[in-house]
Amino acid sequence: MLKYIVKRILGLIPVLLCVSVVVFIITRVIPGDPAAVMLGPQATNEAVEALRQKLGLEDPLLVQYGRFLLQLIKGDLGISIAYHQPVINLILNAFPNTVLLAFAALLIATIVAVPVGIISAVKQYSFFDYFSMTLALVGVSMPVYWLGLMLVLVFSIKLQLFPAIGMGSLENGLGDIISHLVLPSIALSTIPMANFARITRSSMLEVIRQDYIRTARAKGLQEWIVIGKHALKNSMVPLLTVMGMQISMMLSGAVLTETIFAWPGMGRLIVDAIEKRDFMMVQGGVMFLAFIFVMVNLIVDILYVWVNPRINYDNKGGK
Amino acid sequence: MKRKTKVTFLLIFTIIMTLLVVGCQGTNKPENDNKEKPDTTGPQDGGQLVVGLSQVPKTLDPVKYTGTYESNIMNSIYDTLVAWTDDQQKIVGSLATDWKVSDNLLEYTFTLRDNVYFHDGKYVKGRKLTAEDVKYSLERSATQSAMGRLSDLKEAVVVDEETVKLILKQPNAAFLARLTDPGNGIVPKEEVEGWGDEFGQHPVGTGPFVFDSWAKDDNVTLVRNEKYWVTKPHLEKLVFKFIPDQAMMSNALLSGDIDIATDVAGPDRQKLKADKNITIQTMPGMNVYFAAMNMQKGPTADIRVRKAIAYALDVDAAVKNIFQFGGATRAYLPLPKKSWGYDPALEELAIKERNVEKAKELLKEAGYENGFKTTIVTPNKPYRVKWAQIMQTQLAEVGIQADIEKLEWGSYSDKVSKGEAPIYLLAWTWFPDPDFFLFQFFHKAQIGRLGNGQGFLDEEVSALIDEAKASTIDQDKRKALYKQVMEKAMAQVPRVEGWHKENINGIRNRVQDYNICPDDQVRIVTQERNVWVKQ
Amino acid sequence: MEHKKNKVLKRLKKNKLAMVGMVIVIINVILAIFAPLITPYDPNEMHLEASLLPPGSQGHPLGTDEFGRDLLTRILYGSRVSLIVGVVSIGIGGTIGTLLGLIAGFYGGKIDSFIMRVMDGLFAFPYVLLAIALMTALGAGLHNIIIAVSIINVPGFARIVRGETLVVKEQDYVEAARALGAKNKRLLFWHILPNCMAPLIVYATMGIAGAILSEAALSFLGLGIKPPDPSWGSILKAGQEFLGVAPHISTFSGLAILFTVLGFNLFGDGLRDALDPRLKQ
Repeated sequence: MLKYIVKRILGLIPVLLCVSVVVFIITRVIPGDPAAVMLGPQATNEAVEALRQKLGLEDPLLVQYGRFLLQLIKGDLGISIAYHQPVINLILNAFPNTVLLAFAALLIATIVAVPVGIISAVKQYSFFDYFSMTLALVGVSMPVYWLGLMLVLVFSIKLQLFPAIGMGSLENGLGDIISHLVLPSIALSTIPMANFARITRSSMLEVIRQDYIRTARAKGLQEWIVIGKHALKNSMVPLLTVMGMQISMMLSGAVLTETIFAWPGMGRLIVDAIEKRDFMMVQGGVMFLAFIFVMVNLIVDILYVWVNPRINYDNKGGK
Repeated sequence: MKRKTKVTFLLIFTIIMTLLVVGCQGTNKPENDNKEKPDTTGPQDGGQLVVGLSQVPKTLDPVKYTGTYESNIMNSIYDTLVAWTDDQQKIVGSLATDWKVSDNLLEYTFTLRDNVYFHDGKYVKGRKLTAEDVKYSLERSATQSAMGRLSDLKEAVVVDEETVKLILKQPNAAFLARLTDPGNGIVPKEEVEGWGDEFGQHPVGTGPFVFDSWAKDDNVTLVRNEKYWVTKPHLEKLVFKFIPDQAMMSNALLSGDIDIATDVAGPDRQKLKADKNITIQTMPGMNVYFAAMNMQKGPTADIRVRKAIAYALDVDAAVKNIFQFGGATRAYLPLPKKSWGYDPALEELAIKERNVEKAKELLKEAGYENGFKTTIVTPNKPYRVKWAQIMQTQLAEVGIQADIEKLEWGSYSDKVSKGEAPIYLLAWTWFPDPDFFLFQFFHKAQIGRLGNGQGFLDEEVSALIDEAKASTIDQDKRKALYKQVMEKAMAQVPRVEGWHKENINGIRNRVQDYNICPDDQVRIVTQERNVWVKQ
Repeated sequence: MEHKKNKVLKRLKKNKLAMVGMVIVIINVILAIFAPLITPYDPNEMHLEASLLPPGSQGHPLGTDEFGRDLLTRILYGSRVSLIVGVVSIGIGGTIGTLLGLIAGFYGGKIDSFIMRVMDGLFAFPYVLLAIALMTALGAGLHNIIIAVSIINVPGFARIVRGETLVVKEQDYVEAARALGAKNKRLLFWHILPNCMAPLIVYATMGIAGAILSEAALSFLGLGIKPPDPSWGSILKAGQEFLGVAPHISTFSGLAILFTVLGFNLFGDGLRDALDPRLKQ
């Protein structure tokens, strides 16, 4: 087990290196000049040139990449060009907000999807089954940004129940944050919700057909005990895996959700940085997200092996 | 057995999550605090004022700041030698009581006020302002300003304790306007050198408010300067809150979270107007939005083509469409309406009415009977992107096929400066002195820079601009010269003027004595005003 | 082979939802092709004085947008962009991904690790950010969208095909072909690839749905095709500003995206069930 974990962690290094190359190349290929963006219309050409020198944008690309990599190894993500602050500080401000949003969405998704999936499986081919699974397909097809706008239209503009944008502030109490959280987390939860419902249903179906369930039923145990006690826990394993895989999707969805709801998270931070040509922020932010992503996947894989020791983990993990 | 535990763990986890959500749904959202406060007469001391700004400032160091959202705060922390009146029609003394300008416009000598003290900082404790401070601050700006805000200054000479002489590199009648910029505010040397790079996070000046704290990405809080030389500010506390979204800003104003909303969007205006606790103030802005045509190369180098384009565009319809909910007036001159150089008589020189037939005729004369292909270059700003689309349609009707190139600011300014943009949409906003517009747009020295990216080249116009800048500081004489500049420039139809954007502020009624300024800068305590709030 | 194909078709026809999906897709294609015959307007024709008309206004069943352009017309023409981007970028991205997956799975060893590490690297990006960064680098325009959406789809195909290849190459008939002296190229394209086809087709169908969503997302963020050409995402975005006064702009363009994507997803879902009944959920 330990050997497996160490091996997996070592395997992350080339992946992250690859990410660093890709992100570096992309940020340097993007046309535009952060110095000009910072100084605005009244700046003289000389002022822009001087700032470029100061920011180290005139150095050869290889030197810039070397510097980036060296700092990365030291855990330093550099200084944001647009904000004059360490990139890591900006990330540490924004990332918890994204986590909060993603976690709330995951929560909503799970709470709705698991019961729906179970009922659909137990009452396979019923109207409820067809209806909810069709709805799940609609959910998978949902453009998050559109759903977000529609939620704003109905709940903020028409009914004025929830604020449309922003995150609120703890100073106004926890309720303020929660009321700001409702719409974006619902928008973000649709796709995972639909996926979870489908997975729960299919793995439930598989479990129900197993012998020990039949035995349990034959013993005359009440149906809900059979389902709740025996079937449910066994069908949780695939759900856990899917949850892990959903993280990347959630981060992508979060980029769009955060843009629509002006949620001060990582997605907005990076999109904003791209717009401002803040290369340091973009490369630092993307590296950070990629790191989180591979770590979450690793943890999910390890959990998976832990919950399911029958799996031969030496063959897992892309080798 | 072990596996069972793990699965149980997962189950319990799920249940806890469920409970959490159920629990959360019970909480209420905060209520708006819209209680009416008892009315009293006369200014009241105390209380706090919260101003919403649409962007997060990065630094409050005069030489480092780059954005108007930063100067909005700096106006209350620093003082400058001279300042605009609140309506921005005249320059009056501030830290300087009086000044003399040499006949060759090369030397400006200032007499300083003798009752000005710095705020308490970490390194200075209420020290008196001296001539040395002025010399230090202005020379620092001359050499270090990120925007070259005082690049005209050669050196500052301390004549005596109360007199400073500024020597310029070349004669400049518009020099005083430069000095009004908070970027040329007076700072204490000890603090600047003590904090080093962090001075911008711990600013110290002589202004009406003292820097207190900075909550990153959320607000900057200032407190009253008890010893302010003009008067003691009524407000105890002044908070600038950063709300980077226009809709959020309006909501914050409605809920009373902020007292003044800067940057109100068109559609929000109605919503705010409907609330009886809120007043909307508007003011034609110190800006002009325009479409400039390349005069060096391409079809637009021909004046007939430029005229044809001017006739082909229906600017009235465009402005009416883009600002359906108000917020701008059509422009006719390359100068803001609030600039002292503006002369309504010149409006008649502009092509005002659309005339498709005439446009086609002119194109035919110029040899473009079948039209031509061109590109409209615009930065990625909503109003201008919309105008570009409307222009594209209107130009197509006379046979001109225009492509729209929407660029990020850096690429845009680079392309325009190099004279590579056939038609480009630019917004210009600066000091009311016409020099900050007409010199930038039409002087030959500015070819290769953003302002004159179209390559407008006319020796006579350049000479007139020089004369207006270097021969006199008499405003009337200069105004007459600038009138000639505009007449001569407009005769060549170098550009199509778009609109002057209005500054729109939303203000809660408890705020008294506050008025929006033409440059859209927030000013709380000046020689003419001392904002207070009803409690 | 023929027999198998018929069986698949039969199963597919029996799946009502899949048929609904297919009908949606076909209607979409027809509307896209015949858009000029359906509507009397040009999609870029402005009537500035008739902006933001509500649905049901005379001559404009879905109303008009901020420049007074007919919304129905723009949505009809917008389907062209969506379908082209969806199909072409999955074609390109799918082909590249498939080739990489085949090579990685078939040859294994260092080639495999190298290809898959790069794929993992691309995978570790949130794909929306990757697409945004690519579009910013490439600039707006239909071609560039196709390039960006193709690239973000490569790793998914590579993974699927590599997995399939690993299974297929161990099978008896491949071993037999190899024993008979078949060259690698022949083995890859004649024996392994055809046996990966079933999951590949399903994945590609769903991929088109994803690509349409990606295009709309990019256009929504203002990085998509150039104005004035209509795209559902850019119409949606333009409507955002007027959500309070003219909600129809965002509502209808979003519905168009939703239905089209749903059509492809329904069809892909049915296709999967038909191709491999064991997978039926």
